[in-house]
Amino acid sequence: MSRYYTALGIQTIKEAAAYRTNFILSFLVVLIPLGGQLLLAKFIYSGGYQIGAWKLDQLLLYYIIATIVSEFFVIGTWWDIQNDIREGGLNYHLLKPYSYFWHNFVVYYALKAVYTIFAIIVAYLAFIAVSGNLVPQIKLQSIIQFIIMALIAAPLSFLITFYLSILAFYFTDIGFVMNFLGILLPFASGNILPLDIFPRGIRGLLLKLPSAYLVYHPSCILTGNYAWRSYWQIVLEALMWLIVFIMITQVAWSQGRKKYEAIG
Amino acid sequence: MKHYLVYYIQANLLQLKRMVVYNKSFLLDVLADLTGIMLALFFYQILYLNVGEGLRISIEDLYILVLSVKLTGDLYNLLFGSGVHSLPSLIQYGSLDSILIKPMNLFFMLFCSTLNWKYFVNLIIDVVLFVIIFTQYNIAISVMSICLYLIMIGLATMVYTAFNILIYLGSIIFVRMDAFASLISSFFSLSTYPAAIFRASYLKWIFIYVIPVLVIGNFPMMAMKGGYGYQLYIAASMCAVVFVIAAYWGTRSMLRHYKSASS
Repeated sequence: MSRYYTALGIQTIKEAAAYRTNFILSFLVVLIPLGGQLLLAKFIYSGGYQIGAWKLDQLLLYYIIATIVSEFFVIGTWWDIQNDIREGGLNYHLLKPYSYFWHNFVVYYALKAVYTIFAIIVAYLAFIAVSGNLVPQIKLQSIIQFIIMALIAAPLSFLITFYLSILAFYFTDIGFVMNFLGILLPFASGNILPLDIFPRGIRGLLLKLPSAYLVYHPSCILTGNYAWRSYWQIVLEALMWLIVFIMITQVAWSQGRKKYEAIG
Repeated sequence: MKHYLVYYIQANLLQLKRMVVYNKSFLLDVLADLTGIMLALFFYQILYLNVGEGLRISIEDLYILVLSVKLTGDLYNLLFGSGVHSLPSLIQYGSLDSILIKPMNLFFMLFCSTLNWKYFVNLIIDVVLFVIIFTQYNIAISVMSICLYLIMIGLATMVYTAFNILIYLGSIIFVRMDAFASLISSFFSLSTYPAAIFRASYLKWIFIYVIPVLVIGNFPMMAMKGGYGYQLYIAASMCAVVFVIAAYWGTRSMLRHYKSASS
């Protein structure tokens, strides 16, 4: 079965690479708001002020990493799954000897991998333009910490996306989920502002939500904000969210399949 | 004229009835917009709590800036948005014919004939938010400053509408405009930032005369504040004239290249 997933991944990467102009354009869409954030940060720091405990270089790096990470570990509803359930295309997958979850996981991250390569190139150029440095100051320890965290964040973000998408079993239109997520997530995940500068009560809540483990914490890890001790605590909390979503997704999937009528 | 008015009222009353039928989706959309604007205001609240004077502009001016961008956007979407956004599909599928053969003004039919009622509710919300901010921060306003502000909002809406028409006219050349239109629209996410962050003068020039990001938020906010002289109004009027002429010329030129067989 692993050969099937590998072949599927390679095929998806090839297809995605054919639309590289579209990928570059769609990442530029993300990069322009990022440009605004960077200019605002530079403007504030030029007057001798500081946002929270962040030094300017560290904050610029945080914003760039958060932008890339939020694209890779994005939460939303996935049109393919939604459409399979609504139009009855799920029949085709259920008859095949593979897991529908892992099939979508491979396609999802193969697409994301291509997108992220373009994102890193464009964001790196933005980093040089804004900071004037050629090499971002990222420690080896931070890279190791980030890789371990990414191994939890990737399945977690896909599990949440999968869960939200299979809500199509229960609702005729789940477009509103995407509408609200599009507005709330950049804020709640730390993409717009680092979560540690929020007022205490809100900060306490946002830091414990799953969205923080997908953008804020991974970005802080790469900017070198965590010692090993506090890092392991965050990894543990992320693992707990992963287990929670494995359970609720399994329940939603098995109940949804019972409700599913193969005619769409 | 009466003929147009009757058409306008009847067509939009039908739209209103349609909206009443799909009231759940309408309410969710309005709620999403309200959440968006509250978060935009909250963004500056948090920044202000952290850096205070570091933004070099008062918090109430920042709120007026954010609300002005929303007001301009809502006016555009209420009056012209539906028409402008449907332009690519009209061209792509060749359905522009149905508009061209009608014995009515083309510009009216294309851009102004359909109201988007959702944004009418948004406008009411905008007014309420303005009142809350004015009373909360004891902002002194005169009849004159309100009039100047409304003139500037009118000009900003004209510029924003004409700019969007120009972007969507591109669908006569490119089959898939989505990515390009999103790219250009994403520049307007910069409109809620104070103009001072664009320190290079070429950036300011680009964001006034090429992609009019500063016109839709910063200009109305400056008009409300007062003390900027007539140059501000000349710049806004020049922008409006240039963009409206370009949109008019662009639409005429598009019609010459349009083939009913779809693009």
